[in-house]
Amino acid sequence: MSENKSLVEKMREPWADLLEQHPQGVKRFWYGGGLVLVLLAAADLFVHHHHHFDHVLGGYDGKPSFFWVYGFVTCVLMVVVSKKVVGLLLSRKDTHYDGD
Amino acid sequence: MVIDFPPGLILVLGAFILPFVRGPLRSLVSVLLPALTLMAIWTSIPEGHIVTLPFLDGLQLTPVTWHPLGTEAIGPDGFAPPSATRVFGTIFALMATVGALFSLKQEDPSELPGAFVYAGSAICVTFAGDILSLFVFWELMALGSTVVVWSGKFKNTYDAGMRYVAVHLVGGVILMAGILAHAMPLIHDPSVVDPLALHHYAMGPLGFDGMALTAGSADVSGLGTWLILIGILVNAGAPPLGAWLPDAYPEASHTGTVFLSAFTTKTAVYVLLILFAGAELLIYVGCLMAIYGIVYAILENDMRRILAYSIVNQVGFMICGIGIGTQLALNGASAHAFAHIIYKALLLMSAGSVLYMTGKRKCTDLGGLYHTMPVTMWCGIIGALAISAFPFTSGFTTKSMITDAAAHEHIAMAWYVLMAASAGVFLHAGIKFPWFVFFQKDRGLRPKDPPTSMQAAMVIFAFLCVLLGVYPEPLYNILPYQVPIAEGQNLYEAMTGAPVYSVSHVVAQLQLLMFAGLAFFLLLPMLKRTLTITLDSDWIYRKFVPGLWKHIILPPLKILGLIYHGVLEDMPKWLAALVRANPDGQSFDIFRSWTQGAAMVMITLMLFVYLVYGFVQ
Repeated sequence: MSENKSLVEKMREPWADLLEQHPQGVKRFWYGGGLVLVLLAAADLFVHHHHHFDHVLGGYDGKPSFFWVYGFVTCVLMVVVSKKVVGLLLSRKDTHYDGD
Repeated sequence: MVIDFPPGLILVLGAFILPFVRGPLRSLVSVLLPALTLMAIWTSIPEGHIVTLPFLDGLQLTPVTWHPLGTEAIGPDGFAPPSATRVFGTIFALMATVGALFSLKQEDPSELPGAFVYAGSAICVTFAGDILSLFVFWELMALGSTVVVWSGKFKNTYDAGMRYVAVHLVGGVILMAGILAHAMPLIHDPSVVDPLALHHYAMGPLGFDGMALTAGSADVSGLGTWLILIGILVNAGAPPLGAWLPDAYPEASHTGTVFLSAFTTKTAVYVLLILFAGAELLIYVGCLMAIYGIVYAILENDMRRILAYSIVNQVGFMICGIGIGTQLALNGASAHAFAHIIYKALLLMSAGSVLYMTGKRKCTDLGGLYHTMPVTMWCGIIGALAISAFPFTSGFTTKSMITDAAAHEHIAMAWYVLMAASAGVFLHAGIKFPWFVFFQKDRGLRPKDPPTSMQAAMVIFAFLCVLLGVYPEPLYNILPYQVPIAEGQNLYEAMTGAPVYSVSHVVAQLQLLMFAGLAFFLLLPMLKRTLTITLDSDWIYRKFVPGLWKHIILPPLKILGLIYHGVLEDMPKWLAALVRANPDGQSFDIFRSWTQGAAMVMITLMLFVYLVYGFVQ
């Protein structure tokens, strides 16, 4: 449980000041955002998307859920690759070039 | 009134009036000059107007034309040449006008004249119908923009400007070499009419035969084509040639970066569109840029460097469209360039206002500004939504043309990469910039919104972002390719077969973006700002080459220098000193002090050696 707690703490940390100043606003942001996400995901039950490519990802591009799954997964991938691979290899202190 | 010179010259020459006027008159002239240029583009050059000048022996220049590649189909495929002059010329002049309004409070006397030379030459590039005029104004842009970079007042500004101008001059030399390699055979071929005309240099529609650099090929123009392409890609900011962009742009002043963001890369987009439309290589270059920009922007801490990397990301979309090369794709690239200049300038105006009012530029020093900078915040958010291509903003009505073109041509790789990049834009610019600057941590900063002129510039561009989102027709009407449009349709629907605001299109885009937003907020702990920069290819000329020189090449050279000075240069002096008659009887006068007897022994010894030598022989 202690690990879970630290995850919650980690999640709350960037919001600390906003939670203090506008606790209601933050709550509305998350509940409202969550509702929008659910509605958008559910919209695929009614909206037909165009399909273009048969041979990539098994022709997933026109199927329900493609756009939101693809948007989420690629963003997570980009952040992780950026922070954990490129950042690890190429990050330097921002004074790196000073004194040249 | 019809003018017989490129309209950009009004700005280029007008720049030299600015140092002589002061106060309100200077403000008036600053805004009127670019506005006059914009008016000249629209009213003083009739359709089909062409101005030519004789040049050297039998050559001619074409400084003014609406159709840089002519109007006849070129290449074996009957490629209808694009005419992107109006759309690019218009946005460049509009940008200069609103940019001048934004920088009325700028106290540096040289920045605005530099920016006018820069913007004016960019407009001249779009009107050039021959390769030489194009090149001359291309280089003039480099000079004007360097003045703008140097107007920044940060401690790294001077060095960054030096690197900026060096890279651009080298790029210019590469471009010139390519032009000469290509032009010389044309000039010497008597059957070629007007060898400097731009259509001789348009490689894309010719099936890219010019790009074939096969082994053993004696085709000089192949090399020339590569050099031209590399010279342009330097300005486009394509990695690994584009590290100058995130290096130099954030070092300019709060107003300078606004100008810088608009012209260099978009002029490169224009020239690529004219000369390399349909070059498959550019699809890959564009995709690379789109992803590279995101990955680097995610890691960046300087708010304007985040936006600089996102320029690379956005230009990647345009270059990908140029590589796809269909009429829809080229329209998309042009429209996106138009929209991009507006929302990127808006974002940088918002960031510039924050910098101007707080003096801070790092996300780790900023946050919580929503308390006291509402206009700056809302304009920044509108710019952020537009760059993310949110429905009802300009990004949505323009960028979709490029992704649609990829889908129509069944280029799956490009489509998937551009879709991921669209989601990534929202992540790295759309949310990250406003979140870290205006929200997240309250640093206790309570600056006001900037002066009225700066707010006005932001509001105008924010308005245009929304206007082009809900009413894109005026922009669609000046795109390079116009097709017959049925009643009730617009160009977008006529070319793609579906309206831009179809339910499935809007829902798909919202799904993509909102779930990218979810990813951002879930990963927020991981995205914590750090006081770091990320090495880019400028490391090669900032660290590697200087290090190579200092630690590997210089030490042996120093040893050689010692040998040279100690042995080669000084030895004759010592020898001379040994034998020279020395009047004051100091130093090396050994031979003078020898007695006659010693001299006799020496001579005898030499004779003996000579005798032995003769005997042995």
